[in-house]
Amino acid sequence: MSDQEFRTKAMIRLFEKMNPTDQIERILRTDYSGISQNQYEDIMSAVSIFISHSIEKKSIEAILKEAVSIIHRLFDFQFVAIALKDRDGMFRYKVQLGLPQEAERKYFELEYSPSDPLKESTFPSTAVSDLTRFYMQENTPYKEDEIETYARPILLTQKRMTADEMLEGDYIDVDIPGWRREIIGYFELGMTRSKKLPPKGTIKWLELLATMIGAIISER
Amino acid sequence: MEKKQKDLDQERSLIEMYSSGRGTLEEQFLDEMRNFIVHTLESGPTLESILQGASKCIRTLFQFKKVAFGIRCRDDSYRYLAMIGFENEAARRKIIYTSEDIKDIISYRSVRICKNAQFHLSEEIPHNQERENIYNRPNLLGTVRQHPDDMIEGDFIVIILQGKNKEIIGWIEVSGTTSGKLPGRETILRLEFFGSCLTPIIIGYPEGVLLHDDPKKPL
Repeated sequence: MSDQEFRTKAMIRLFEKMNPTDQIERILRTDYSGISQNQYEDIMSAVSIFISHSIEKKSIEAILKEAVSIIHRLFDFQFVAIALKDRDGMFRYKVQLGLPQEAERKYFELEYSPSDPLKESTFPSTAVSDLTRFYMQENTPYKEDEIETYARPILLTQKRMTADEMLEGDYIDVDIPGWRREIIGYFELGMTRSKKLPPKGTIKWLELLATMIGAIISER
Repeated sequence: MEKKQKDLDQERSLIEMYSSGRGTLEEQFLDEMRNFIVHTLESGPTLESILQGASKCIRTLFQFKKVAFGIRCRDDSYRYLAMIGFENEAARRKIIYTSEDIKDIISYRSVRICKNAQFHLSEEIPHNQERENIYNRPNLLGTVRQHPDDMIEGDFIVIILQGKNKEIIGWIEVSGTTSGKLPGRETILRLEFFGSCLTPIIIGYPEGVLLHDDPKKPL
């Protein structure tokens, strides 16, 4: 009999001797571990911690900084940014992770009206849900003066070899809805480490996270 | 300015990848969660109605027959503010717990499971004849559990909701699985996650409701 078999049989004998309440308590303590067992549980745990941190944080900027950090860590994106609507109604980027310093400076100078991201003539896009739009490199979804805001602009002419490949010029916007569903900002996500478009589950997580951030910051 | 042409084949491919089909169970759960929060942000006239909506959402998503929300009120007491599946709601709404009750793990002995969940076993609930009317089938209280994985009358699970500085702002209470068996571990983890997502909405609910003079109104 192996050590493992011996231990298992000893456990069964012990279990049989227990009264029913002790048995169920033992089941509850052993089967319902809070330790993450897969990537999905890792993400759930990280988002829960992010939400509890956000409740404590005083500034919106601190919340957004933690948000880009966890998106960068949990998902495959090399580039993550968050834009918010300012009092003048224009959207401006507040935080980013993944751009070199010079590109970041130019990126933070950009500003958009609420209708700009929807202008097909300038920023052709594909809506895959009520919150998420994909901007694909082949459709040149950028203005001439925005080329310097890419980390590696030299790659903007690269050809896509497979439908699920992600290119330097591809980016994804996920809207942040506030109270009464007004769009108060958006995530911008670019280039994955795997060089593949993100899986559908990642988009669902980002949409939920954007919605939660909207709920947290919209009344501040 | 030259008009930009969209690649329509690529657009179809993206819609096929991201918009078609119901998705995995995990994706469906995330969609349901998001829809609930968006709906709450859109409408939500009172915290009570939000929690009532949350009770219905939990019952649908997690297959529990009974769901209740206990919330901390301005007088620091904890009361049931919303519930679903209980035959005698009025009796449950009359219950008032003090902060000491909430911390009293001896009278309310439970088994801690997952991260913020407590399983209260029917066998461990102190006998209190005055409170028997809060159960749908009080005659089944004290029934012997036939199998260790049965969920019986009197069993319930509490998900603690923590606000700023880890203060307990309330809890979600669920009982009576549709299968009659203990819920799976994933169910509890998802329920905890649901509670996490609901917390900022509860504590950030617009002034006017939360600053109501009625001491029964939550903080």
